[in-house]
Amino acid sequence: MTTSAQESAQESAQESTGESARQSEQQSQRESVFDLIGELLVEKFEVPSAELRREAPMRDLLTDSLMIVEMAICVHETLGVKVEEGELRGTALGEFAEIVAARRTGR
Amino acid sequence: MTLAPAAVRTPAPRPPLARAPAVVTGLGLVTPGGSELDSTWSAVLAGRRTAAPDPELAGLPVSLSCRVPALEHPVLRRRGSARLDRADRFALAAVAQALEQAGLDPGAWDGSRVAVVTGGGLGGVRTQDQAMARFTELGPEFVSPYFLTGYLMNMVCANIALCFGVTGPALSTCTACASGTTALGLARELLANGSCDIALVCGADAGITRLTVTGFARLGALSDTGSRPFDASRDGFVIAEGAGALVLERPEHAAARAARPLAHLIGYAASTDAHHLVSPHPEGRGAEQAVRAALADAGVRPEDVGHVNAHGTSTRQNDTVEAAVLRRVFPHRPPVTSAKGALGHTLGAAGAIEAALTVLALTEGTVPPTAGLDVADAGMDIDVVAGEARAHPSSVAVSTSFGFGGHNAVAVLARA
Repeated sequence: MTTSAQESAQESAQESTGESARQSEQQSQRESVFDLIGELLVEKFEVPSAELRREAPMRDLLTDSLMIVEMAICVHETLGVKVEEGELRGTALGEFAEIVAARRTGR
Repeated sequence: MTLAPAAVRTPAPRPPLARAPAVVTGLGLVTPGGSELDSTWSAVLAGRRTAAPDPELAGLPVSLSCRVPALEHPVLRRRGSARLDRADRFALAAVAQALEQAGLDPGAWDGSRVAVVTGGGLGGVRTQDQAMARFTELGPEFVSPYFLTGYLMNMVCANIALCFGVTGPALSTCTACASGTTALGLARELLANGSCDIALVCGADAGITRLTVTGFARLGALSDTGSRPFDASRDGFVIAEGAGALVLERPEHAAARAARPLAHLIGYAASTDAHHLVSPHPEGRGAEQAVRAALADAGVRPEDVGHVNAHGTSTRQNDTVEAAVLRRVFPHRPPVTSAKGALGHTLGAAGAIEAALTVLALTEGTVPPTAGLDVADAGMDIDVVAGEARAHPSSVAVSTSFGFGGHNAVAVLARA
């Protein structure tokens, strides 16, 4: 028979394990969203893959206004997440991927 | 209503030319025969028939087409290129080839002295199809902003201007299947009237879609058995896609930069049947008028013409009418060829592609065969080159284009 203290410690350990699993799942989801957005940029807009750095401003990757509108459609279609054109203009690639990942998780 | 041949009014030759001929200094081709000049020329010279059953057209009454093979060119690797319509891609690759041959560097020229004139029959119908499908299935918010930039008829022209830094006049012509030749004529005018020193001419169309093919089939224009221009058994044209580009320059400009002239565009004329929306005038009234006017414009006599690149679509009507016109205008029976046996009918691109092929025929002294021609139509008294290419040096050649709508355009080219 376990003491209530032991039970509590076990629960806490289980919670902690669950929490870290969730965190790592979120982490890998963020990674995959980053990769998916990178693929869109390369395949649909001929952005050289060397330019796909987290700190690269999206407006430098998508060099005209039509690309921004098209990218919003691509993200909506491929990742099922609606993004505003303003979000595409005002973020860096890493930050944009975070926004999309968060919105995906929150769905 | 029919008019006897005698009723065809031939315009009086103009006084000696006020305009100098335009110099052709570069050629570019993207066709079902190959994605550049040499492969296309080889295919045409060999009489290689490029028509094949098209999986995209499966289940339609006509499912034969001539497709451009895989196209790869540095000009298509720029950011945003994947959003271009297929016609734009063909055009940019063809123009880039032509500029390369001409030895012109768009980074170094005065763009304000460069014009671009394009010819196309359809606009970006593939892009339109895709946009319509998305509109219907997914809703308006999924329609690409690149729908109109791919679909509008002027966008081949605008893309060329943007890509190569052309800031002089940019004009898009549409005279259906005569568009490429119309573009050539208009470019020559711009050079002659001083609007530019260099004119980039490009005919481009990429119209092999289920709807377009159905449309041409409903008009009874298409063959599902093959392109056989001037053959007794011909039964329609085979739809094709592609682009042809020519760099034209004012003679002084070409001479000043010591450019190698490939040929001269010495004459051009256009006419209109005003007879029927899609059927040619049965006596070839407009066609004959255009051929004779183009010769007069060039200041040459019919007997000066060494060979004819015919429109030769492989439809019953066109080839019958055209053969009769050529017989009347050219009693000396110069060799006649049609590239459409090999390449199919590239619609608005055809005139530019065939002008480029005519330049090659002049420079090489060879008239290519008419692929698919096996048994000549007994009712035609013209000398159509069949089987193998014919060694035949010409000083002057004529290229004809006749479009739906009754549009006729004829170019006269001379060996440099």
